[in-house]
Amino acid sequence: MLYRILKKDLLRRKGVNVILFLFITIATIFLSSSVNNILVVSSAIGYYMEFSRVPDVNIFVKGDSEKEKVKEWLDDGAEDVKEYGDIRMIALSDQNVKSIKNGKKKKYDTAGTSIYLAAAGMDYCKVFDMEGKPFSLKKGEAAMTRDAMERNHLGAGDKISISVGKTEMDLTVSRQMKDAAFGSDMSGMNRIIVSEEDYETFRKDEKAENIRMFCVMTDKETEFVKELNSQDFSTVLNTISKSAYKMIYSFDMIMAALLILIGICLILIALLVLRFTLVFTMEEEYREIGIMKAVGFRNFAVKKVYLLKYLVLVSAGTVAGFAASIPVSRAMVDSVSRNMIMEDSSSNLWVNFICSGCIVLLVMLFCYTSTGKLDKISAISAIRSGKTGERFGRRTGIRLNRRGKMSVPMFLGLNDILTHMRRYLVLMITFCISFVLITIPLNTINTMRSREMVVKFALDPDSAVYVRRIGNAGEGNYRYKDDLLKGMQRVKQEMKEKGYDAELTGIPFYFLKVSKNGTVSDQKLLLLQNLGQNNDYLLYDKGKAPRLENEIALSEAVLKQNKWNIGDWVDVNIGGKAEKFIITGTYTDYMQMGQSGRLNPVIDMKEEMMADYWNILVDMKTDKTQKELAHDLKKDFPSYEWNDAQSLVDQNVGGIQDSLAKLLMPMTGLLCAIIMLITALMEKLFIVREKGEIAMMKSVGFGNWSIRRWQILRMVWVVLLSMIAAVPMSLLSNRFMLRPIFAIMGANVKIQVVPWQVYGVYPGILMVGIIAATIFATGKVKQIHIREMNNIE
Amino acid sequence: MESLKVSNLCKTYIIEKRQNNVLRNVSLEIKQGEMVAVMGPSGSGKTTLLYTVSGMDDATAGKVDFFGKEMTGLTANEISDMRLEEMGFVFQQMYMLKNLSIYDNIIMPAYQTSGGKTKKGRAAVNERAKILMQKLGISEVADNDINEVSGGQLQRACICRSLINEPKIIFADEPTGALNKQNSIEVMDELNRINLDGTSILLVTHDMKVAARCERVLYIEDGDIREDITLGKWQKDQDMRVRERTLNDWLVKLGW
Repeated sequence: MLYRILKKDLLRRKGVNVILFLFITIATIFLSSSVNNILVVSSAIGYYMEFSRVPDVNIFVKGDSEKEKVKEWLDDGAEDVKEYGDIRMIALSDQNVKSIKNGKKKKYDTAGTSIYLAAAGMDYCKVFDMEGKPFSLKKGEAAMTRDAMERNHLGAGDKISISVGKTEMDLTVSRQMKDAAFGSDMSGMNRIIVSEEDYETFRKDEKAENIRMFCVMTDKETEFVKELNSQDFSTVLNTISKSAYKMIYSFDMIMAALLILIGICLILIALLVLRFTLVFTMEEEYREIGIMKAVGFRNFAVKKVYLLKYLVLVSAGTVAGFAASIPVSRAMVDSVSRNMIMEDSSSNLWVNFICSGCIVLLVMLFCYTSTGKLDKISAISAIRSGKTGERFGRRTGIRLNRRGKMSVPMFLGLNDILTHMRRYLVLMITFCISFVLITIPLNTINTMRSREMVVKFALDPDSAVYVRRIGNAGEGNYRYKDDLLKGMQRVKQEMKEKGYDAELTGIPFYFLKVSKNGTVSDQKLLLLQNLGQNNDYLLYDKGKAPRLENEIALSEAVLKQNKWNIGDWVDVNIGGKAEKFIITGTYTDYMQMGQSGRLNPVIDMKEEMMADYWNILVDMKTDKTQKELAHDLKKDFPSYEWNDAQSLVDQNVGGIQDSLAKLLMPMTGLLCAIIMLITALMEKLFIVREKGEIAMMKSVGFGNWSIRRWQILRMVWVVLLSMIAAVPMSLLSNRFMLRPIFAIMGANVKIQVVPWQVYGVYPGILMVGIIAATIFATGKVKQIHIREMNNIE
Repeated sequence: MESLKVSNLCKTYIIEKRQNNVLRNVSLEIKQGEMVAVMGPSGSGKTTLLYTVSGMDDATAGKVDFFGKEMTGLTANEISDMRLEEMGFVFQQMYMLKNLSIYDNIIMPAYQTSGGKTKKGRAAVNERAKILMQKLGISEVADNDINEVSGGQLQRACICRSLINEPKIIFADEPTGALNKQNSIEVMDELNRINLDGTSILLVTHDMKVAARCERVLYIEDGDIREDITLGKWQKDQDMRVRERTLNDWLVKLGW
């Protein structure tokens, strides 16, 4: 008998069943493949780090002058050092590398990363071929990472040219490689590997900027870095810990995390819709339920009829979802294995299986609780269609005769919602979730495109354009601020000759030890200094900008970490001497993950070696946008790196804005499709419930279109109310979700909301979808015959 | 003038590949201001006849003229408009929208007409609704919910709704079928009064007392009108027993 009831039930409401099936299937695909991906990636990161022997701390030391001193300290002075080794590298500027295409040398795209040249065969931070095997290089050969090769359109067999001082060599890129420490653009570093022989030739050039990277294995990463900073090593440029590398690779899980979020939302929506459908079906069949109860069926026996139907539906959905998740999981793991070496690059399908099983359990448990209503209702109440004979309080509707000129369909729609708010709550929650989901990428993109974001990267959004890498071939990297000033003067002159009357403001940065009464900050701090007239654009949360020679501003993270305050005096080690500075202000920004300081513009730093220089602000009168001017200047001065603010922000946040912008329309389309499905499903159910009333309206002369207008306008009211409810929810998501995400990289930014997009265009697109789905679903009104008036409750 | 003229009306249903002729060449006429009852055994086609002549159901063949206008050639929308503005309906079950008050249920069809969309038109509708409710004695339940009034009050509200657009004819399907004796008398008093005011009424009933209040009674059997009897216009002070006896004798003769 159960089989017959089941068959009848499944066939009776095909549309609704198909939609529920699709929901469960999509949710299963998203959840199982994403959970699988996260588990695979998180275990793979650790394996990749171990396999490549990435040390716990990498110390970058400039030149060999302090080599022995550092070694001595590592051998005897430093605590908890298990083992260490060193790798020799040469720092290259982008002028030193060219890609060769058809015999012509072309500019090498670094994507803003620092480039290092190293020899094959290192013991730490090892490199491997794409199959994860060690490789050797012959003289004249080079190996590069996949990102660098794709960026420069290079394939195996293509040539690149590397020059160090007077030494220049054309090398054949023989293979792509996997490089755990330098392989991700997010690390800000990239490495080209050459043969030992070629490396020695470059190293011997007197202009070669040698870097020694000490690779230290220790169990106490933080303590070790703190101890290192308290030493007086003037040539230590930077330290990078293994946890920072791991964080970089965790970005591979962002897409999976996003899919999990969507999957959870889908499951939530599916549960809401399921509950609505289940309760609706039960209410519709109260009489049958009452009769079954009256003849002695136990509660569970009655529930079984309903639960079985959903068990079949959910099982079919999860089986289909599980099957579809297998290729999706494989594709996701494959994309990860392109960047990493994995112990076992096959996706573990047990994870998908368990996830699918959990979904069945969760949904069935939910269904079981939703049928709880059956326990409470007596046989006779059920036979009376759930009515106990009691009269309840007045409904909270509105009055037609007090609605001015409001049309009857419009009134009926509004009145329905006001009298049965709970019935429409499922739809409202679904629409709200969709509206809020769409605001997240929109607000993220708009925030990334905001002026404040540019300032948080220590740039002036009002500058005409920015320039970097101004060194001429043969000059090498600038070491001191005077080198930079000279270069800026030269560029200014060159620009003037071509008709650009510009003022340049350089921003050199230094890694310096900052301490107060012997308390040293955890690492050497990145300190910026603006050299030029443009100084007033930087923002401060408290206090003011440093102006006098003994003033400094430190970021909030630094002050908090060291329990320092505005007004405190700190010592900054400049040129081997401790100079006293008063903290005048504090701020948050994205420089060095929010751990930085700003020097006053007047102090002369000529004795201190620069770590590098940030983008030079170019201020001039122009009618062109930054993008247009950068484009023009690239033609006039092709050897320099001209940029607009947006490109720089994009480069520094790993192109997330670009990816999100690309994702926006597909995501809107997906959301639109999902809510259209839900709307169609719910509308069909509403029509079934209201069959009698629709028939009655037809009998008194309401045409099909008037009745459909009632249903459509009701949906419009639901959408409008959801849109209103979504506004505070979206603001809450900005505050408690987006702001903390933006703060991860170190700065507090105001989340930018563009009202016409967030509250207009995109919800408008969803609204059009919802109305289209309603119009489609209300087509069923035509099929309702006046005779069906008997179905009225 | 005939308010309704039905010629050779047929209605056929196909049930499980078998043809079921519910109405077979039915012809009838209802004059303006006439009150006609249709009686007959269960399954004879009474309700189908009512639904088909009122345009609530399509006819398989035949012709229906409503005040000289042929309904069979009209589109679904035109028939809807006709039902809205020129016809009134009273059913056995008191079908009303449960989310609306009694008053809103009554005025709703009038607000839907072209005249009821303007402020002035709506004021006139409200005035008319108040008078009708007063006449039918339900003014005090105007703001009540439909589950807060008795069956008789609800049926009178349905009559108010059927009259709100000042129809030329009222179709009533067992209007007292769900009411007790007292409520039935009250509802029929109202229908008679409306008829005396000039509105034609075609009603379907099983109840001889209800049919006895009509001017003419048609007897339908196997989808065809077999006989009819004219009882004459109902008068308020008339002895109903005479009309009921006449009708009873006639029905007995027909095998009722």
